[in-house]
Amino acid sequence: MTFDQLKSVLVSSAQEAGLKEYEVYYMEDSSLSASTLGKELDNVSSSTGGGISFRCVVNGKMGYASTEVMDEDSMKQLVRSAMENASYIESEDPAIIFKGSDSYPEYEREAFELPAVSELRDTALEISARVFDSEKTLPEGVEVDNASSAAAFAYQTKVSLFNSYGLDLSNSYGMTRVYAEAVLKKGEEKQGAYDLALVKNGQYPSRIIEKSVKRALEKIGPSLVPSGNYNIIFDANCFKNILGTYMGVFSAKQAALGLSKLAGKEGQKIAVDFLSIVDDPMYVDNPAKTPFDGEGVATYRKYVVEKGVLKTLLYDQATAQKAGKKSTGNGKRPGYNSPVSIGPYTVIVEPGNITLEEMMKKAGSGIFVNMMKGFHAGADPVSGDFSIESAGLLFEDGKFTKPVHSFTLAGNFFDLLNQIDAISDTLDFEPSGLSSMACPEVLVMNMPVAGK
Amino acid sequence: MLLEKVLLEEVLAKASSTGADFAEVFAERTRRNTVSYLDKKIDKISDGVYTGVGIRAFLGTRTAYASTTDLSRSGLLRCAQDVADAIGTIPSDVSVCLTGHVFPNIHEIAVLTNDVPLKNRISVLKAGCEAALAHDALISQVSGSLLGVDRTFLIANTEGLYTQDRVVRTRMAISAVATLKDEKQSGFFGPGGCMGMEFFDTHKPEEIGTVAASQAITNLRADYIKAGQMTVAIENGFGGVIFHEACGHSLEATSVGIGASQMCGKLGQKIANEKVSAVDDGTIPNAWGSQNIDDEGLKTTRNLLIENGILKNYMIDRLGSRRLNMPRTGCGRREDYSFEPTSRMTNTFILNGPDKNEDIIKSIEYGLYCKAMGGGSVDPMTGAFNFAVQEGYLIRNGEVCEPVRGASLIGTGSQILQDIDMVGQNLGRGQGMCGSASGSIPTDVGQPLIRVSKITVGGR
Repeated sequence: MTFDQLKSVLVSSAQEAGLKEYEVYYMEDSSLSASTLGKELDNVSSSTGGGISFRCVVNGKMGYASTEVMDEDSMKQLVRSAMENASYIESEDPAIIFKGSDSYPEYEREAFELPAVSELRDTALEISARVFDSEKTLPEGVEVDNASSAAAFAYQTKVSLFNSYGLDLSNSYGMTRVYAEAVLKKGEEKQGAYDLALVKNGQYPSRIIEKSVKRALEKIGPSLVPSGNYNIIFDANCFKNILGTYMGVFSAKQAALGLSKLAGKEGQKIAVDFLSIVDDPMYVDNPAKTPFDGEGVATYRKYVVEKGVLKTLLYDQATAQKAGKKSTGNGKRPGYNSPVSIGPYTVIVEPGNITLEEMMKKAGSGIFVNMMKGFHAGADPVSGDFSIESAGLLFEDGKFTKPVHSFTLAGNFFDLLNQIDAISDTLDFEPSGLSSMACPEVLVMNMPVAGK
Repeated sequence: MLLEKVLLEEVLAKASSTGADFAEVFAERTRRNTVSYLDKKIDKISDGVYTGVGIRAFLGTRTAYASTTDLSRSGLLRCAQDVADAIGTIPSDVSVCLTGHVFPNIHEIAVLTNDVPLKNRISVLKAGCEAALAHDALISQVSGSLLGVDRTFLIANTEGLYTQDRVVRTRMAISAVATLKDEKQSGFFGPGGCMGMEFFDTHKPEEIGTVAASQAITNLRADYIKAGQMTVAIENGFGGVIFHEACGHSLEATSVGIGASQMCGKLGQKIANEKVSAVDDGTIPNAWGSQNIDDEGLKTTRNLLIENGILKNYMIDRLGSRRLNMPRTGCGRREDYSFEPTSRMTNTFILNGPDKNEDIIKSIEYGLYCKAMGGGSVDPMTGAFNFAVQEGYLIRNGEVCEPVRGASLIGTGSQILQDIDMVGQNLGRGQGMCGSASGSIPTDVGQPLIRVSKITVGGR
């Protein structure tokens, strides 16, 4: 059955059941990928799928149900399940089906079609060959290992939202990306590093090969650092990880539940005055844009933090109504089956005006941290405390000296916002989907490190 | 059966029509229902039906995979054609003859969770969450969920296998937040099993809520731990996450088979202290990580990984078996039909050892006692791992003293396995979700109380 046919079954079932307010949310995904292992093609994959969800208001409460089975019986069952689920909801959050915004952002949609599998396969093989080819640039005794890999992958997502007020919106986006992972071997030691990039106009940037090889090489022969306090420069990816882990504290719902320390702090200074954080659902460099959120509210670019001041929390319809405000267009539905939850789109930390080199000089000595992992475990989203396994490069007098690993970096996110000493002038952005991040490097002096 | 034999024979023949030496169809229909509690109320109920098929083909160790939610004949044949186009170019006429096979069910279910009326499930969830709220006046927020999964999956392949199995899982997870002035600390407990609602006969909801709440209260009263290297005692149950991260992932054929694991080529060698023996056991009746058969249609096994410190085996899926030229171990797993299966853990744990638990604590002059652990992660190539301490206490002069917070433990697997120098006798398991290449899957971790002679404790 087509989406229009499914929609008409849902609408007539909803009307028969006497529902006044309801909404249909539909997502369709297709993806393709080709990957190599060593110099050989390893895997080719494709997927098509999607699902439909129905939500409705019964006695002021919202009920949801979803399915991947696209037939008439399933649609009828969907309406029955959503109604039953609504009847057990006790939350006093307003249940809102939205009539629509006055206007939606207009933009030129980039036409995107999934490439042919053969194109992805050739690209992955080419990247792989170039990773192996870079062996000639490596110091003696270092070779490219057969665990090195490369991939090219593409996806396309279509979203449709239709509700009982006649709001009928649709959006689509897609992108092709490439991946290179260089694994280098020196004696018994193996070190790997990867990089990802967007394919634009059929071209991928050579830097993914250079960067993955360079980073893997830099990791060879790491030492342990003595425990103590160090000046830390977070590379862009590490700062993205930290900020991404804690973006939930900007949710008005978390604040209302007493789960964010930013509750009641709108308009107040929460960070150093040279930190600004923007949420931009239509970020020009991101092929995944959305003019409306998961509730059909028009999206827009906004400062979340501007010059250290918390300008706004992020709101969906329910939290906005309770707070006497307007939704910020952040009621997201990451999957067709996800209920509305508050979240940002493309998050941009505005760059500063100091180069990485100047930053290293300013710090004197310290650690350039370029790997942090285990945020799901080592970072507490409520207290803001974190203690994270990290690795990176020691620097002194403005120069990198040697790789270090197996240490933890500890701090508290809310304190960190006020401890930033400098933000670099280079913005690093690699789109991954609607939720992406752009960050510069960030210097924080005197952070506790646990090593040997 | 989810799909007819005759149709699957046609689909498998199509997938093999360009020279593949093996093809497989995995079809699934899953109902997943979650009731969520937040802020003293039932907040959300999600109810979803997931269905689709994943088809894969092998040519040596090269693989092709395609998945779709279109289960019509034309949808399946299109998917099979995509696989055939991706795997080879040599036309071959393959005929497939499937034979039905029924594996015994060792996970009896008494009451299907999703069949229990919503109002009854809600009262069970509320009992847990309300117990957490009532535990202490400083508990400021409680969230909880009751998950019921009912998953039926079918596997057919060009070796003639045609089988179907059903897995039912139930889990309650409760988070509690304690607040004192500007300070907020949290606690979590989330046990589950390959069971229906009878799970709560042996796991009282009130106890689940109380564990989460008391952890939050303990952390609220704790000071930050001072970072450094020290001796650590890690309690049983979810404490086994140390083995899962420090060693388990590095024993998966996914990384061993491509030379990207610290454990490559070490079979028969001493990789751990002789007190350490460990298994991956997917056959434990009604355990969270158990299945009758894996997602490749092989009966699950009890796989002895380490015996008295000696590496005995890896965890091997079908592709890993080709890469390593070793037999499969019944551990090919995936989150759902959209993922290609790979070697994964089921219920993985360190076995009881020779030491008395009280001797382990007494032996530590100054160190950390980890009563409850959070999640972690690892880079299998280097073995560098991390995990979080959810509830920890300082040990002084052989006695457990005041609580400490903010600790995480890091190290490298090969080193830490040698440094597990005392192994106690209270083996217990804990439940978690493990994320890797083939998605997020339920796994048990476990161990008795153990002592690690030296490990880096991250903190302030």
